[in-house]
Amino acid sequence: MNRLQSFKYINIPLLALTVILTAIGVFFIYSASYQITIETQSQVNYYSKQIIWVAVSFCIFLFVLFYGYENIMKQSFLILGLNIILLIMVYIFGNERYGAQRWLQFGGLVLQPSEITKVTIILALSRYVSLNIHNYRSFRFMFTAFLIVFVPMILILRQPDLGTALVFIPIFFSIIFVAGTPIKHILKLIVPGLVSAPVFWFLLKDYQKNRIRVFWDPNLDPTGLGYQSIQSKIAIGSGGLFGKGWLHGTQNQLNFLPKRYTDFIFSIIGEEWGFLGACIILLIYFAIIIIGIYIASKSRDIYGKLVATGISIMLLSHVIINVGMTIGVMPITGLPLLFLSYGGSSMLTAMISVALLQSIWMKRRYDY
Amino acid sequence: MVRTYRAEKHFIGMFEGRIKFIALAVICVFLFLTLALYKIQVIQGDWFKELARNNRVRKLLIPAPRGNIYDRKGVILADNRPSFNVEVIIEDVPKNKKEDIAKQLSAIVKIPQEKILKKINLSRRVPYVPEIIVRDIDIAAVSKIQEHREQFPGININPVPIREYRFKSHASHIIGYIGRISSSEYKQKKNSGYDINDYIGKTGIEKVMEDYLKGIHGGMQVQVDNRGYLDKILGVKEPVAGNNVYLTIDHHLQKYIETLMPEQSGCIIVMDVKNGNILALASFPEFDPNLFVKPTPSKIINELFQSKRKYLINKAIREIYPPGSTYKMLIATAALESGGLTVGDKYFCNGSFNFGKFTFHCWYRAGHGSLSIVEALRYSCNVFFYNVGSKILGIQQIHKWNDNFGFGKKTGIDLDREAKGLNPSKKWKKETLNLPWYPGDTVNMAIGQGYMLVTPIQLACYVCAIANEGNLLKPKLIDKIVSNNGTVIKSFKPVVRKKIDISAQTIKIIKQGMKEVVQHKYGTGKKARVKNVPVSGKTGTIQMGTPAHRIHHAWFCGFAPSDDPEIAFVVFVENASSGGQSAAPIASKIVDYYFNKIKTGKLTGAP
Repeated sequence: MNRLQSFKYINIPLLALTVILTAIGVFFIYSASYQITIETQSQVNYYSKQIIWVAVSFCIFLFVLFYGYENIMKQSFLILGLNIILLIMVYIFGNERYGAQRWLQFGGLVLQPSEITKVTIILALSRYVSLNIHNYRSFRFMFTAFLIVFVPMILILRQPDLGTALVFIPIFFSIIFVAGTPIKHILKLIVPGLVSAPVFWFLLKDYQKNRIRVFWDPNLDPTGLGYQSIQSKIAIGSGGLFGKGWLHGTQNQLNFLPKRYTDFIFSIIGEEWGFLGACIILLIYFAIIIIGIYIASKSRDIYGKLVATGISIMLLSHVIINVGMTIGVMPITGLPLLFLSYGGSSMLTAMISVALLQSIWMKRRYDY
Repeated sequence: MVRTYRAEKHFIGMFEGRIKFIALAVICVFLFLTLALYKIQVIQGDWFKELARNNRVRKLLIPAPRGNIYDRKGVILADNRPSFNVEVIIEDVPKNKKEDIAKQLSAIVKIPQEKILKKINLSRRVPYVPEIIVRDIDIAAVSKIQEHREQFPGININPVPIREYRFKSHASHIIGYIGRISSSEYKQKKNSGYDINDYIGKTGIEKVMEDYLKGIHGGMQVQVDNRGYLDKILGVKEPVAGNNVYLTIDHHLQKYIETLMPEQSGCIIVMDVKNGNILALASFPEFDPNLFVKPTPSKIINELFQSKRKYLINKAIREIYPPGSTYKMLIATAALESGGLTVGDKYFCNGSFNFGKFTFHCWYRAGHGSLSIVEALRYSCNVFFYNVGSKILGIQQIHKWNDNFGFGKKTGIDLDREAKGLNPSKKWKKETLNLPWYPGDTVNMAIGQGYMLVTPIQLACYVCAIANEGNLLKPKLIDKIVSNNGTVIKSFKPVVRKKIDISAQTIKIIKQGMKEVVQHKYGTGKKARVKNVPVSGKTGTIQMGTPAHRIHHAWFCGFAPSDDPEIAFVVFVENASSGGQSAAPIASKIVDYYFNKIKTGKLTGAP
């Protein structure tokens, strides 16, 4: 069957929402970096860089659609293997920024392999589960699945990138859960996990511990992270019902919020578009995730169902961790808001994710 | 196959049920987020709007007090005093009142109006961060500004601890000074907790011990009212004071030696022979480190940096000079140890030494007559050492013994920018001057002239090693580092850099010579005598400059008491008459003061 013909089955609402969300992202990166652009006389210009990233990611998006997820499926383990090699390379050669080693530089191109790992984990995990589905009752089956997630997770925790590593947990449990694993097995993993949580506390780096301590009590570090958390809350809160208007957020334009065009982009939206704008953003995310779940439920093969579920849960985790952080209900971890935050690797991850959803949706239509 | 088919069938069934559960969870998450947003944006919106207006929430730095510096007995040499800075938060100054405020402020703090105005009009970098207008104003100015607070919107008085060197120029070259962090230092250090307005150690102990003395800044997040005044403290992180550094120096001895060279340039070092502790170390002229902390006219600072008298240079460790006759013990040791010279061997001095087509003179032109090694040291006869240096030793041997006594290498004293001096060799001369080593060079070097260059601290270590019979010690300046709650963080043990292999017999001969320098009635250093303490030593006089502008520098180094040495000392006086005349009397005073005042306990108590 002609691939091009299958494009007519593309999920239009999902496509439209993706385009709208990405466009909003570029607009707010423009606003959030407005002062930087002026100060550097357009030499540092994040929104146009972001547009380039969107264009590049869209090409990858099209590529995934052409190639089809069923072809990707066969290479799931290989892709994860390559990804793990990249992570090991980060560990050995990676660039250090803000006290963490997460980035790989290829000439002028800086990549963050941990971003894309979220997707490759979903692919590999779904592949494993779909191949061994007849074993769904056994504990060993679930435990092997857990190891697939565990290895890259440890590598990412060591970078350290707590936010990304945290996303792996809901991804793993959701896939295992919908695959029909008995609840008692899942509890067998959760309970020792909770019991050994104090051990993990000792494995955390000092600054990660501080972030969690500061989350409980922002006054512990009133000029550092506590400052960021409070300034973000002030930004969102002062936006009120209707916001201060695009480019008119005082917290934003007066330089009060560090990292506002990446991890704290939602604070800027909350400030400049107010509660209504923030609700629109949440609604778009909600719609994308629900469409993802719908696609999962309509897909006819196990692999497709699992991948769509995993991607929906990944998007959900990003929203709750990132938005939660900006409004002070989650500790500060360096996790971007997919589609909106500035950054090439996260844009790429976002686009590949929706491309996979689309591909699963299209296959269902043209195959049956 | 059937099994798989069944499993798939089962899977589809399970999946349909469980995915619904997940959809429900998604709905709950979004409801929760929407409610949380509703709470802070709509319910608490007005409150946050109020905080955002003029940004009512500000962060303030609480600077950490720098650690103190003490002498060995706990006398405070450097600590902190309160000071008051005038700061402005530019955004809080009403636009139409800027001129007015600058004018009134200028009358109180006595700096030009334009300068203040320039600060107030500074283009915005980080908003609502205070900008310092003037540091360390006096208390009268503080109360004047506080009384008329309503006239100065946006202007704040910020109390901060500031470094104080209690005894002004006392031990200034050891302690060093601090200064504003430079932009390159800030770039390097901003991740280790430095603020743009911070002070940082620039020289001396202040620089070397910076990491211990520094402390950790605290911070405060406050809510201010609409005039910019503090309304509510939202959170405080207390600063952690820096650690205290205890030096090995004795405050009284240090104070005393600083009075001994009021006019000249030079330096004095007093060292404990047994463990290498520096008991006192002064470089002349001294300077007042407080000048770098408080606002000082740049004219005075420039004078300190540019004067020919080198106020800021610690001559004891950073300047290099020929050792002159103080070097003769090394030549004597080398010759005795090589076996080429024995205690009874004599050379005849007729006042000069002919070497090829050159003639080298003794300082005593009439000649010393026939001399043994002990007598040659006693009279500091040059001809004897010309003979020993050129006929018995040669440059390789001398180079080796230089190395044994640590010449040409840093001593490792805990101060910055120590000089290495120069231990010449054939290789060195070839590489740097591209000339062969002439035998005449060796002759010159045998009396500590020529290429040989040492720092006074190297000389002190050398004398110490003779006094303690072969232990080349690391000069120790820091005794311990103690945290603010009294726990010892680090204590410094004596370090023997090298155990020099010298026979007891040789040491005995050298010591006899040094003793006679002072005790013999014709000894060159007899002015170093102290009535109840036997002193050993060696004079040195070096010629500098051109024959038309000849100047002499004077050395005297030695130890006391002669038989069971406790302290070693080096006195160096620039532009003096001779070691015996200019430096030896100073050494006498030091030994007298140490043994008859400090050791007898007559001075403990008030400084």
